Amino acid sequence: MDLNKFFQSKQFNYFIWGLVAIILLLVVFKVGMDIGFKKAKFSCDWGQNYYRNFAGPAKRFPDNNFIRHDDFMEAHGVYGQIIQINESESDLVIKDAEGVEKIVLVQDDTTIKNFNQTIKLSDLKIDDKVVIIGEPNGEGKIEAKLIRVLPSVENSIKWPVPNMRMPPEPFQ
Amino acid sequence: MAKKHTEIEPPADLFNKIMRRLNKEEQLLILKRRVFGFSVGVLAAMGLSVYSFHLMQNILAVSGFKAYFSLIFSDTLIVLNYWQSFLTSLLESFPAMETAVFLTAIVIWSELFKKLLKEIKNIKNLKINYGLK
Repeated sequence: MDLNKFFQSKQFNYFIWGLVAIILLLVVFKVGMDIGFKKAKFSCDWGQNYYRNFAGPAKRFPDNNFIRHDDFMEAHGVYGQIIQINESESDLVIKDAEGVEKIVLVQDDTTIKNFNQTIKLSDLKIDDKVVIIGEPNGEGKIEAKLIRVLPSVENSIKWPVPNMRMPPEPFQ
Repeated sequence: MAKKHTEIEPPADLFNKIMRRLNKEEQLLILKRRVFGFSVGVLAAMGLSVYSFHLMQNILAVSGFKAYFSLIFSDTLIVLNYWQSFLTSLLESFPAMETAVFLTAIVIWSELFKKLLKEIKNIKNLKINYGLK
């Protein structure tokens, strides 16, 4: 096949324009996320400084810019390792690849799957790697809809993954 | 002997031929430089695409995108039931900028390679048509 003909063909041009369109979509998506982040950060800072701005100096968190872009975490899902199971409260604590811990609520409509079987909360074990989809609630927890236990090959990965960013140090 | 030489008449279009040949040599030199430039560009774009591909793959693995995506195959019905949460999870974990950089590198690479092939063809034609080396 003549490479020159292939690269000069209409099909190749369509392919390139398709890629350009995808790139534009991705950039617009990223810009949208960044704008969303800025609005969320402003709202967060505004709430944090509300008392000081409107009622004078008061105690506040030490660092004005303590929230970084990367600190905004995924709210509709978790991919990580179970570090705690509270059967009495029907929740799990999951540590993700970046070391961030999230509380996942297991409700009546939550499906827990391991291979082809549907299992119960009591069947889950500490250190199991899971992928969860759900909805965030007002308390900063995730209400799980699906918990999928990952096979042991995935379980062999050491978590948290080295060189990933770690959560900010707790405030003194 | 010297007189004999002065009697030789050069062809009428010799000057034009020489000028044309010089012009073609100059064109060839320009084309060779462009081929070199495009080759460097192609190599750089290839390097960038390989690097950005590795970066994208690492982030895809760590962010959980692959794990979320695999749910389509393992838990299709549940995923369809909660498709909004699923779609949001995918978008939240998707490395958009890294993917955009990777695709941009591919586009640059392809376009430069296309131009490189075109210039190589032009050089070949020039050499065949004008007997240049």
